[in-house]
Amino acid sequence: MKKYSIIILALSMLSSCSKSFLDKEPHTFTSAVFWQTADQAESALAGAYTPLQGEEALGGEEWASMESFSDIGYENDNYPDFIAMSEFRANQNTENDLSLNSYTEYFQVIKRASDVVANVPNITMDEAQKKRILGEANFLLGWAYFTEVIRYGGVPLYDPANPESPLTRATEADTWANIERVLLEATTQLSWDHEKGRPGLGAAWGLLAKAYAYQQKWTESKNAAETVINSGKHSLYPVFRDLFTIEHDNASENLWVLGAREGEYPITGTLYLPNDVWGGAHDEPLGNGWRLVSATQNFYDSYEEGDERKAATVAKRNVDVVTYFGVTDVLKAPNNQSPVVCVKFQRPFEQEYNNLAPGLSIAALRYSDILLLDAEAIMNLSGGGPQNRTVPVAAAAVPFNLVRERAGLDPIAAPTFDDLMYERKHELAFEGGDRHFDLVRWGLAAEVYNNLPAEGTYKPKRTFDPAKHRLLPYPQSQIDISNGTIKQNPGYQ
Amino acid sequence: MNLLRLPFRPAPVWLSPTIRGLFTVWLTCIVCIFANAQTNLNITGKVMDDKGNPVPGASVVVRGTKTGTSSDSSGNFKLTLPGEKAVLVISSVGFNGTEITVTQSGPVDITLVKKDNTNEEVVVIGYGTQKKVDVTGAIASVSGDKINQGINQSVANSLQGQAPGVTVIQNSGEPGGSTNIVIRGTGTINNNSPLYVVDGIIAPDINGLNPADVENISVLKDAASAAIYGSRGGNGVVIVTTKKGKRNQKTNVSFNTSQGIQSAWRMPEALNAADRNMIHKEALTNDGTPTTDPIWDYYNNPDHAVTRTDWFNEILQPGYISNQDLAIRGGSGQSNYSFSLGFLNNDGILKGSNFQRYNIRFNSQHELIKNLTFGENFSVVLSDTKTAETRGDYDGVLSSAMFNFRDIPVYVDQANKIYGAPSGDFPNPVASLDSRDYKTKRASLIGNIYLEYKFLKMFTVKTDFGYDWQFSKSKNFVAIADGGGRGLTQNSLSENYATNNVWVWNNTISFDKTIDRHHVTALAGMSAESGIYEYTGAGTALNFSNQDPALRYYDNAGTFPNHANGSADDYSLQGYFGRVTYEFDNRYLLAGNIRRDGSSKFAPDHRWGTFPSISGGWRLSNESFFPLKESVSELKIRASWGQLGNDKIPNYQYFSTISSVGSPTLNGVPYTAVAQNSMANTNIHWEVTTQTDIGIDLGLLKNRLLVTADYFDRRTTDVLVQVPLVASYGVGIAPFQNAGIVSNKGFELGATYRSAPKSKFTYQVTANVSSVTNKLETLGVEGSNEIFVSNYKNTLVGRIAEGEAIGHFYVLKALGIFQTQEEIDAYKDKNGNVIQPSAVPGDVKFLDANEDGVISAKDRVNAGNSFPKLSYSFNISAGYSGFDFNMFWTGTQGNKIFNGMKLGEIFMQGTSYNNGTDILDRWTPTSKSTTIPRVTVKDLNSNKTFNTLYIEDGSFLRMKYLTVGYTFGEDLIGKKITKLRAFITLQNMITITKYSGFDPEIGADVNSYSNIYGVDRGAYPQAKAFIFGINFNF
Repeated sequence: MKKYSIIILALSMLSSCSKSFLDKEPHTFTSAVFWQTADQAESALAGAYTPLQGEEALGGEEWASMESFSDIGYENDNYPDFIAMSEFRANQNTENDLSLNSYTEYFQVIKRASDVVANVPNITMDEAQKKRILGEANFLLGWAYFTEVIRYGGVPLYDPANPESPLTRATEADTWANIERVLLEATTQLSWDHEKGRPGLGAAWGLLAKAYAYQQKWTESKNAAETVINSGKHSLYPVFRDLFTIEHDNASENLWVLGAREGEYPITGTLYLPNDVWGGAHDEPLGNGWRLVSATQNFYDSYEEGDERKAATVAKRNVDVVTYFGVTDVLKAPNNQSPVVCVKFQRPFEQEYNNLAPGLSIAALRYSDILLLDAEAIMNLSGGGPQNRTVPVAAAAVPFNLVRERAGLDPIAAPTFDDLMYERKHELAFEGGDRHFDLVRWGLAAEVYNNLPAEGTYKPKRTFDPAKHRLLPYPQSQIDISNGTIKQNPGYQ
Repeated sequence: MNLLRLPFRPAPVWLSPTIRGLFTVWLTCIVCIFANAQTNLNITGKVMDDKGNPVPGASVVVRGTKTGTSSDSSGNFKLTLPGEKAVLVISSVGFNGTEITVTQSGPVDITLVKKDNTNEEVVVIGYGTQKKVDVTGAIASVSGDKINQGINQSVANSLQGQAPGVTVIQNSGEPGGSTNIVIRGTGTINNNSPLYVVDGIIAPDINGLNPADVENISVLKDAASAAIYGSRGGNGVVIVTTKKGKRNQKTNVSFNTSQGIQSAWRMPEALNAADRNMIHKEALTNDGTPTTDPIWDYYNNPDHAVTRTDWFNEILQPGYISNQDLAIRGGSGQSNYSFSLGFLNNDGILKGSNFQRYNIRFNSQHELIKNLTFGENFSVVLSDTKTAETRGDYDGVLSSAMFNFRDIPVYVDQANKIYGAPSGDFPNPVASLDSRDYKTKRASLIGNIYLEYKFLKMFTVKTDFGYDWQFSKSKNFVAIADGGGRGLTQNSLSENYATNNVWVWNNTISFDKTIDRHHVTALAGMSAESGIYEYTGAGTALNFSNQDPALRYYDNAGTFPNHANGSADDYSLQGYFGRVTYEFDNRYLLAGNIRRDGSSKFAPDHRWGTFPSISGGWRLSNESFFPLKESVSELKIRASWGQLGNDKIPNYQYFSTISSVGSPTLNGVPYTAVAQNSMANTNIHWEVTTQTDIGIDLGLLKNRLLVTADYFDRRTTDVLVQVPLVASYGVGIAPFQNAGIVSNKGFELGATYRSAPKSKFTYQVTANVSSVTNKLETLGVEGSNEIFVSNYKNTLVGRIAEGEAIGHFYVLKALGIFQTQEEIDAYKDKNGNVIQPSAVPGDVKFLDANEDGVISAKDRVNAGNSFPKLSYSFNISAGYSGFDFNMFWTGTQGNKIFNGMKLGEIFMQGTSYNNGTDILDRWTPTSKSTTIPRVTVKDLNSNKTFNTLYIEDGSFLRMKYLTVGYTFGEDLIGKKITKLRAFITLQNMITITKYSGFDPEIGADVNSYSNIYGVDRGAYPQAKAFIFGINFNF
């Protein structure tokens, strides 16, 4: 009987402890036990920053590639579907990881920032810290929605309390209203002083100025821009080209930067770097550059005489002298399609380097952008604007000339909208595609693009149809996965 | 008096209750005999087999009576019989019975001939064994000698083609590469790997097992056979039994060694420099590239027309494979033991790839007191792998060899190790091999101990506790290669570690009783299992000032990793199970199983599942009315039905977790970041596989021809589907839902024909063939009827979709090449618009599948499945006077391969990349190809979009091995050595395939559990080998 009792004992041991035996909890936080401490709030907020380091987000491939929609740049190689979109030939946005990954990364920002906004208020912690965390989360929400709305129009507005919310697109107007709401909230939560890589009040008001400008709310835009200008917390860095160096990438001109880390991200410079700078004339690590996006000859020729931004932004084959990998000589870049490459982010590569991610922070929003937005708002409020491009507006001169003079150009006493267009084009080139979005919001994209002659095979003649090409085609996979609750943009199939 | 000295010894444990019953009766008779004291015959004898070895435990009975005895451990017996004449019936398990007539006292020698063992063959089943003739399920049993040819690296490799319905897919020819086993088709869109059980203990895989240690493998294919494993058996079960010592066996030492040389069986060809110039200039001309463009300078430079390097020659080497194993086995009256060592070393055919494995295995059994047996198994496996990168889209060494220009020298300056800089994104392959130092060390300790007690002659209780500890460490160092190209400009070190601990405790009680013509067995048991996997990633250190291999440790880095990571995953499983089998008169067989399982992977309300099965068999050939007894020696019809579960999804899916998501740089330093990155579903539960099997076992010509055939219908419901989520949910990982239905229907046929017993010339021919039709009936979720998989160069080329077979390729359909402008103009949609306006003659004509007038990703079509329609194999073995011959062929039919290498081989990837020689047959106005388009870099027609020109027939027939051996006669080798055999093997020597890539045997894609095979990224090819080996027995 002894043996039987062993079995019975064994059986009863197993069955009696079965409930706890089969309960295995994850070795990570579950939602049930999270959101308790200040440190958790900080790390959840940090989680909302993480997607911005993605390959397609700030300073990434999609960010850089948006310049190929404009007249400034073109996609050098790879990504035929994206090129088709940038040449206004595409009917869809399918098999194109640039758009989809960027879209996905920004929605991760939105989800995570929304979770912070929803959960952090309930945590018992230092109120000042709580306010800052909520302010940053609201700013990130505003930034992410802004990035999406200018590309796609209305997008789903994520609501943690409504599981259906990601399945339908809000209207464009509601999306803008939401951007205004979160940014205004952020302005009540952030302060002017902030750590590197985090936004402060300057970033929140600056982005608001931009969001208002996109909606032609000129009074609001002007007020927001001038809140930044009058704060005295931000100024232009005196030497334009030095702003894009590791030493000065956190200068006060940069209202908000993507904090960089050597060896990890971003690789913005690499995206523009030709993969053979010297054409065999000097030793260099070949193949480092991805030459994803380069500049057009047309853009190179569009600089005014004496504009210091030219040498800081572009270089031409067999003409311009560049410094790369410890050597200063004439640029060769033999396998670039156009003779012009973008050198704006090449400063860290002047010395011999061994890292494609040199640790250069990428500015998401610069003070010069805000100064020009202020000037633009003043012009629009004073009879100027895209429809009255030659009307001089002396009232816009102060912010306008701050930018212009920094570039080494003579001030203009009463700048016109044409002058403003020149400044925005040359000030912000290759920084995420502002030129294209500006032309679209001004209603000038068709005029500018359709009159541009073809340049080589890399920048063919294009036809921009405002009704259709104002927005990008929505990522097709989102329409497919949603089973059609997410609708395509007008004009696209 | 004499009674006490009667040869009544503890019966060997394997004796059936029937025979033990006989002893009791016999004892009674002896008493009678002594009482009557008549004239007796005193017989002493020895029972031997046909080779003169003693046969212990043979039964010796006087015909027509119950009088008898059994032979002792030396085969001797002693019998005292009344009367003057008797007929002795001698029998033993595994031998043909014989009779002799004795008329006088004295010694007799009896020779038993080994039975042609079909009828008494025992197969291993879940938690026990069963006579093969009694089996009612579909079980493939593969003996150790099939597994241990002395030439295979792993047990799974040698299982290839050995059992119908068992598909073995080698993931690559890489030394130490892993192997996938799929039983009866792809049953789920999740993990399809079967359950592995080694000596009764569940194992995560069998990659580390030494083939020389395997006694037998049983593959439980149908639901009835696997049902005893319940929730784990949904994908089938592979049960491995390792070799044991035998009781009463003198120590046997065996030593086997084999050495072989390997080489690539085929290499594709890349253009030489002059041809490359010609093709690229033609492409530039076709694109209208202005002659002022500096790109022409490159091709016009005569230095660039010089072919300097054959990259394949530079990266390949003759491989070397060496395999040694030593085993010592034996046993005494109450104990047996087995000890074995193995050592395998393989230098792969790609330079720098190497695999070494050391195996130690020990087991023993001891009968502590009568009927109480203690035993253990213990195994140690240590392995070192050095990998050559072959799978990376750009880093793959074979694709780099293909696509680098051949005018580039290996070195610009060999003395200073400055490499010839690559033209494009693919690094210099030699630099890549030299720089990438990828090593993995693995160690595992696996063991179990058990205690078994038999009582009341029909019950056995057993408790068995097993523990499995596995450790792996991988260390990747990339050195700077001067001029080496992309990825080789910075040095870095990353290391990570993982341990896996699993314990399993099984308790069973079994019952076995024969009453007249009724034979009943029963089993009841319980099993508890728990495991934890722990991982530590130590991060990446950069900027080593000295790259000496001895200094490749974190302490010597210039920049230290700033973020280590670690995680753990645990699970537990608990089950109760029972089995009853009933056999009547060797004619009617019936078996039922039930198992109830609980899994920690599901929420408490959905945790438990019950999995029943029933099966039956009818041995027609044993019926008195069976008319064909002369010609048909065995005919059995089997049928089974059962339900099994599958819980092979990641742990914790019913929790909403917040986990680490990288680290942003805030205030200049990395900041810990977390986020909810997955959505939970608390309602998920077991996937259920319901399978019906009908089979027939046929023995003809006195069992010289054996045929087994099965038809099965396997349907998996509640398949756990990870429903794709729109990105606006902001989480990376979608929740699982029980939604999908997958069906697999197929047949399996195995046949063996062999020489008559006692032939001088022996031979055996075995053929297996199986076919399975797979279909994803539904994903069962709204808004999604397809899942895209297998990213190749930023495009998903595989698809899992409703109504179609799982894991097919999904690309545009190429209808041909436009030969004239008229053809382009005539290719119109229903509105009369030209569908491909950008095309010019020589471009690819694509099917506008959705008829929307444009060619887009929406026009992709199912371009064929990676899983073969038909798998087959055949084996011919023969022996004559010491010589043995063994040849094994295996093949597949109807599987497709996506040949990613075609992107550069027949299309222009860009001007920085070389092409394959096939591109010489491109379309030109004077030589109008119908299969290869014109060359163009601009590619306005998107000829190189993935399309059916990339898809090739992956069918192949391969001679896996041909072995010729000779066993030396005793006169040659003396008494000390009991066996000496030498053999020569040719491995993979003949491959018949239309596939144009490196090798048609392309395994699972990237993630080894993915359900798509055959995406050729330049996979490490299988090598052909010439192997010489010797087997000794002492």
